[in-house]
Amino acid sequence: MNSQTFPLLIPEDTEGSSYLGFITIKGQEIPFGIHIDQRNARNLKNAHLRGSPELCRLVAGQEHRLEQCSTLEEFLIDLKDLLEQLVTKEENELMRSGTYYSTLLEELDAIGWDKLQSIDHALKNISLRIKYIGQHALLFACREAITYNHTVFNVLISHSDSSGRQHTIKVILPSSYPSDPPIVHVDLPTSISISLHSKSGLRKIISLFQEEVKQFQDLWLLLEDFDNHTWVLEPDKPKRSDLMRRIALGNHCSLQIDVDVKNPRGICECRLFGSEKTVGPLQDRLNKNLMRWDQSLTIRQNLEAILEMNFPSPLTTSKSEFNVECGICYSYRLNDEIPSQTCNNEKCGQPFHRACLYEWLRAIPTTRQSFNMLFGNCPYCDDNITTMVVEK
Amino acid sequence: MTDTLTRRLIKELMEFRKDPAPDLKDLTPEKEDDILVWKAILEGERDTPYEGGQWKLRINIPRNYPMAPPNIKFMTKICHPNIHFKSGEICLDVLKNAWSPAWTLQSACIAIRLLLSNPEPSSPLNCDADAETRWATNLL
Ligand SMILES: [Zn+2]
Ligand SMILES: [Zn+2]
Repeated sequence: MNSQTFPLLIPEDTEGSSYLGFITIKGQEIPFGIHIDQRNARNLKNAHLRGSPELCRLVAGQEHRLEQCSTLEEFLIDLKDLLEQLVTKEENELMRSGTYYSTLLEELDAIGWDKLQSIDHALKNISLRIKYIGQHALLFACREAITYNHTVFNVLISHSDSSGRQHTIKVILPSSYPSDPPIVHVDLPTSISISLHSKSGLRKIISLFQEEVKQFQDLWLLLEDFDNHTWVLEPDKPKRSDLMRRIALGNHCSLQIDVDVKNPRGICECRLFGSEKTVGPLQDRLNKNLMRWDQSLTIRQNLEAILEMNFPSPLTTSKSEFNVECGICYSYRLNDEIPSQTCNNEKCGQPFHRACLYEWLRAIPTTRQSFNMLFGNCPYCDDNITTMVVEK
Repeated sequence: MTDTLTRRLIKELMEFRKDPAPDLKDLTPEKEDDILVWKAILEGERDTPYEGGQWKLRINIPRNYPMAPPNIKFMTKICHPNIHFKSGEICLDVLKNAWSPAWTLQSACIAIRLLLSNPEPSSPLNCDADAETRWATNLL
């Protein structure tokens, strides 16, 4: 062992199979240990390198290179080379993005940040929890993901509106920011042109978002009225951009509404799902009473009056009574479809996915097809059942 | 393998564990890494010649299950007019053309156990070839 090259390495045992020491990379001493399998001393294939998390992170994926060395000295020279290259590469990446950081920080100042919560010495993880001085509390969390070629910054802005709803604006800053605009993701019912204006920076993005949020307050109030007082079968977890709700009515029946974003209090689109026997009377009431729609009531209140019923509510019922699984695949949600085909036999009432029922019926020799309808028998009760052909 | 098939089989397994049929001693996938091969252990019904007996069944599940029935065979030798002594094949309408997705592995095993005490002399071992062909085409 050449002690000139590696003065910081000491043997751990008398056989010379284990060494402990430091390797100096760019003036920084990184601790490490190495164990050599003496039975196989001709090469270092089974050599085992121990080290700090930082060292392990750097050499991850490079082990094959080091395995090819035949002597310990060669190995250590190679390791030093490799680490120096890797460290230099990371430093360059940070240098390149220098303007990027300063721009970002200036901007954060401009919005009214007053506190930087933490930032690690290598600028690899920055988290900012800053109180916005003003009407709204904002929470920013910035995280940087370093990859070999580019740096991406994700800024999550949480904004609470006048009714206390939390909204999140996700801003992805490319490494070339500010010369390239950020990509902005928001969850709103209409796609707004925030991205077009985003050259004007984070501050402008936030104020545009606040304007948008204001105009949807009544719409969200109406939709939340469903979420809080009925069993919403679809969507699974409503987002702020979802204008549709499918709610449980009981007896394997459901009602789907689509709210008009421009006129949320107006008459909304309604569709009933379920067996003919149960849906028929409801459809009649819908047709008969729709003219009594009252814009001062919520959509739910209107529909309860029109259908002459109280919708099953989370206060009195449990959801498992309504999201009945498909009798064929045993799941509720299949490729975003819920079991909407219900056997008309009242004693059976088994629901199926359209795709599952079609798959079953088309394999049965006694099933008849007329245009795009299949006429067959319920797999459960053998009563007549009809379904539409599903295009694949 | 599709997620939906796995999902259905796991639900069937949970259903059996929650509420096992009295004479079905075991019903479970044979190996941890293959949910398409199950085994079942039947116990003979009381007051029949089969009382005290135990029979092992092997269940091979086709990829288009439950559109097609499972393939169930006796692994334990059994002397029965509807069960092939050598191959363990079972002649039961439910496992052929009377199959529907409303059946489960558990209910099919129960049907087999009932067959033990109530043989069907009218349906000989060589079950109708039509049904076999029908499922064979479905498997494609
Ligand atoms: Zn299904
Ligand atoms: Zn039915």
